[in-house]
Amino acid sequence: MPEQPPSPGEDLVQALVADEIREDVPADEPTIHSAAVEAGPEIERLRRRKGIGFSAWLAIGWLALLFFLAVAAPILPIPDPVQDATPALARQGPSADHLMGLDASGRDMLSRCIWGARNSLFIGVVSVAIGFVVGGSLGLISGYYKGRLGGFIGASLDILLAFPPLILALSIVTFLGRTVPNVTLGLAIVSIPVLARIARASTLSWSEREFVLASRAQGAKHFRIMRREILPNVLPALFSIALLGIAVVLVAEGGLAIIGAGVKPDVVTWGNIIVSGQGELRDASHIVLFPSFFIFFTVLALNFLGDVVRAKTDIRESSL
Amino acid sequence: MRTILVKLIRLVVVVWIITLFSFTLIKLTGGNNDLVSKIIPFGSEQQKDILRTDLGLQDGYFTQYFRWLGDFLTGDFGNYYTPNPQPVSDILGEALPVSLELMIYAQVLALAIAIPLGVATAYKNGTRFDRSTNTIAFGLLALPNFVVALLLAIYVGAKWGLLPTQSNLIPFPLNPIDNWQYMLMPTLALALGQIAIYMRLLRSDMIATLQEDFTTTAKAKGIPNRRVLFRHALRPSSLTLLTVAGLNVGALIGGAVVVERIFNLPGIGSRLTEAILAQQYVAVQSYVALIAIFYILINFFVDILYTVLDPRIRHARAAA
Amino acid sequence: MPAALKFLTVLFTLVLVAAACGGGSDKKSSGGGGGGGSSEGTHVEGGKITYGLEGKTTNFCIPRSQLAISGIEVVESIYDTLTEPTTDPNKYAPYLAKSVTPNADYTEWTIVIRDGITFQNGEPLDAAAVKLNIDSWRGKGPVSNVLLLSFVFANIADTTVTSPDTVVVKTTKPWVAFPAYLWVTGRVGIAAPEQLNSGTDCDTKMIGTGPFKLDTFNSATGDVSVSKNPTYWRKDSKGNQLPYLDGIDFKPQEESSQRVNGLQGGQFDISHFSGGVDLDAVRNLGNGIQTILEPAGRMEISQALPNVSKPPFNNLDCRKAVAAGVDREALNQIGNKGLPEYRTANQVFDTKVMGYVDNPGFPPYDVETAKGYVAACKQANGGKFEFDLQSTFDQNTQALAAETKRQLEAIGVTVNLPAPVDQAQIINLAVAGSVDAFLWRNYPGQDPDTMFVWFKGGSIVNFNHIDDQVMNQALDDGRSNPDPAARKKDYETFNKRMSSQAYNFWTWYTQWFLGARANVHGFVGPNLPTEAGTPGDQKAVDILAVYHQLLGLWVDK
Repeated sequence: MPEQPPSPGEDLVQALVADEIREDVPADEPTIHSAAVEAGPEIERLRRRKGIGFSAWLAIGWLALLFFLAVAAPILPIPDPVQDATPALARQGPSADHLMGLDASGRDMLSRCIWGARNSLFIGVVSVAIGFVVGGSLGLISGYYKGRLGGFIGASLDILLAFPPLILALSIVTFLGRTVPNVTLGLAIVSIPVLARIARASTLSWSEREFVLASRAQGAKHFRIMRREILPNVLPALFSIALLGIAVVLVAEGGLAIIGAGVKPDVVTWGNIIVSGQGELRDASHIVLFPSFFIFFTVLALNFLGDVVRAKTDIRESSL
Repeated sequence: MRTILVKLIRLVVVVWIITLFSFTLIKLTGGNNDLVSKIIPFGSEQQKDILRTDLGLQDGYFTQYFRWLGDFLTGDFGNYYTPNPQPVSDILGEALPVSLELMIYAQVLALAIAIPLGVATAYKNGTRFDRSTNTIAFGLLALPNFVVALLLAIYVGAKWGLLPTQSNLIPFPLNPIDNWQYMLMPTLALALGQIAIYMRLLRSDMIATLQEDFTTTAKAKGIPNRRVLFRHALRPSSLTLLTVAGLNVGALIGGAVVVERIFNLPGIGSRLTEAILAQQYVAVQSYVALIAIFYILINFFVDILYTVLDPRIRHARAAA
Repeated sequence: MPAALKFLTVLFTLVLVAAACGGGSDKKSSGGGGGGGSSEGTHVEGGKITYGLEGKTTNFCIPRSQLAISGIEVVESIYDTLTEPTTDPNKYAPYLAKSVTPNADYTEWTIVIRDGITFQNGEPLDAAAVKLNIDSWRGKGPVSNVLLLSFVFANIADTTVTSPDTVVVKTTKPWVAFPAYLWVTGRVGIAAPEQLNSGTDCDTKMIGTGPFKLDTFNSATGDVSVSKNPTYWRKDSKGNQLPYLDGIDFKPQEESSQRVNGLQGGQFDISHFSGGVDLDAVRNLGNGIQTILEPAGRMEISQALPNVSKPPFNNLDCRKAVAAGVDREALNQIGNKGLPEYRTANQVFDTKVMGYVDNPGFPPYDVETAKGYVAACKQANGGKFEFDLQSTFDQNTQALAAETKRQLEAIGVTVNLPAPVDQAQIINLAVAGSVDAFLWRNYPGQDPDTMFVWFKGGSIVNFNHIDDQVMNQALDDGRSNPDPAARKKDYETFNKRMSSQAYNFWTWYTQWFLGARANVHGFVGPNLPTEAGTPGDQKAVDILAVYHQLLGLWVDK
């Protein structure tokens, strides 16, 4: 950063609100840590190849199955995850009747994992969707209007980024109450600034492109330029980060549950199932392991797809 | 110098807003009455009135805020309202070093493993070694730290008896070996995800550097491979690594809270989760503010360091 | 801030009394080898052990501290009590006292103190020191913010030092079971005047006459480290100085499965547990790890504790609906793996406690009858039967809460499970009467007069908020009536009334046990001292809600 000549106070104020994006670091690195995934060799090969490859289809297949199960949970022929219990069989391992065994209260683990998917994915998808819409819009606006408005939005988002994500979510949930909407809200607030940064960085680079400048020269309205010219180009990057964001939120839900600051324990989420099995690991480890597998494979699939989207849309070269 | 001044002013503003935010959190519990009856559920109306007066709840919002801020800045972080109220500041003195120790260990371990792996995989880009290391790293990213922690505790700690599961924590200066024994599992649980992040980042960064002209020139000049690798390629990449490592502290803090809870480590995370379960909201509020400020300061120093190092490293890169 | 703080302090003191209760038992039923009662004979001196505790204590100023079982264990190492429980639930042996004798109508108790005992700081244990302690418990001494104990000792009218080794305690009403109150489950250790007079430092500056003295106490983590008191007043029957150990490190670990891990991994030499899941786990650890069980007869009772002062549980039908509608065998399966040691309970007393009756009239499990009660309850409450069942973050407790909810919802009761809070906060909520019901464990087998504190109308730790004339009368009569047969009748009346009114939803007798590594021995101290100070014929209490003497512990090298 070259030394700049001293300038009057106004400049200083400008500098305070304006938030430079560092070109050296992909803008998503800071907060979404699993998002800070650089392309692996497979991805590099993918980038060059047509189609998305077997692994990606596997990931899509898993996610599709999971979403289907989550949505269809109430009509699936599975026991109720809360009301159907056989205390006499509590803690029993996997068997033909109960493919994933039973929990410490004698409830079917498969059913609980499926209902857990329903609640955990709800939290993950809705919170990131909020982050996507709100953060995306804010990022777009602040990237497009680079002046005071952009600076102000950028600075406000920086305040949110100044909290360690889990701590921010935890404090919102603790003080508002441990319900699904509040946990969703808490995690949405965490994801807003992250997605906004991506949108902003992406917008900044796109808005200097010739076709945008051309469109502007032709007298197109700002809103139209943003919507028609910039947004379509920003979306892929945002989408790939959003996929990673869902993964992060799924893990965060579990972390909150473990420390007693997540959704209250009688709501079936993956995190809560793991917590309920914490004391049973010695003799009934399946209570912790099965929901952990669900989290693991889902996060893996989301991370992978995020990378694929990034590779396929050449985001690195084009926007960051 | 001017850049640093700008950053400093911005730091102060962000810290100030964070205190405002943290102070406001406690107001989310639903009004003064709710707050008081959560902190002292058992009080009669008269006694609750006394607590209200003591906390100054009758005053206006900003009067309360500035009094709280004044106390906060002078090291009075409020009390645990237990029989003989315990000041939060008393607890901090013991808890802070433990959390710091955990995070430093995790960071050092993660970098110590990630740097050689990152360099090696970049150098052997595309080989089987590179591919398998990358696949493992990708898997690690999807493994939640609480699952790792729980499994370490039950298997490595209890069933195989390899490492102590109880944090009978011995301060490092007294007996480093004992200290490391107790810290090893929590450190591992916290570091695993970070290893993957750093390694993948370093790898792709170095692949890019190795393709740049100056490294090719260096090779052509007959400088040994190792020297090229470490001196000419790793050094520029270390800047990226530094930034990411600094920003990753946010994730590290969240992870530390979870890991401390699982391993019963007497750090800030354990005290924070305790305070949440005891509904000691005054203490929670202080912890949240302190953690956020700590995080901002870390980022600030990394930022400064970056500004200071940047020209030199650029210079080194250009000169090579 | 002071006024509010003072009030808080007081309440927390209540909490302390509430949180734990211990009783005694007479026979050791040891699951493992080497857990036998007497520690004499083959003992080895020296060594240090780590004791895993189920909870942390942040305050050890005896008159106001908030002692649950974990805190009692620590107090037991540093302090002695004036009396000690014996294998007979109604008999308390003089301990620091040489004798504790009543006058004819039990309104005056004379406590004579043993000679030649000094506190760990050199202060003499004399009548003045004992008076200072008793006055502090009553809230009339130098210690501020005493609440719980001041209620417990409210029946004391006056204390007088009549000679250097004699204190006379006058009571307002006759108090037959007074010696039991000089122990109060090990909570009322006699502290050195220096500690009691030290203001806030009283919380952390533990000085007693006990077998161990304080090395370090970390009030944030609850870690306590004690080392041998070389001038302790007790010796074993061979004349060897007690205690045998060089020291004990007490280490809290709230997660019980982690205490099992610690025992297996070797970081804990001994730890206490109360659940069947842990019992099963510790039994299967191998490596010679022992389980030492509390004998049946004086156990604590687990329960769901309702607030009967407000809807829905101020209505008998509503209470009976829950009592009859919950299948306790199913709960036992979940909470304790259905282990037979966890016997279902239908009353507040275990079998060896005065007042126990075979069938006190607690509604038996019967879904159809329960549905009738639910209907009646709803009729009385405008068609609604809904309550909050509060629990702690402990996963086992949460599983029980969930199962209770499941069973009750099947018969038409709406049960909400609020976000968990810690135990102290649950007690606060209970005292405030702002929780409908919560899962709880209490009432170890001692003299039944100890029920006075928990169930007398108006008592601050009457968490149920019961104010029942029949029970009040029985508690008053039992407290003052010197005739054992008449007392027995009083407590049977009390017991039957309480169970038939379903004031508490009993589940099972809590099987406490110790888990210990193979090389730890002597879990129960030597026989209690005679007047001369040497071990006599009176056996020390075995394990009573996991209370046990620590001075006889020893380890193989």
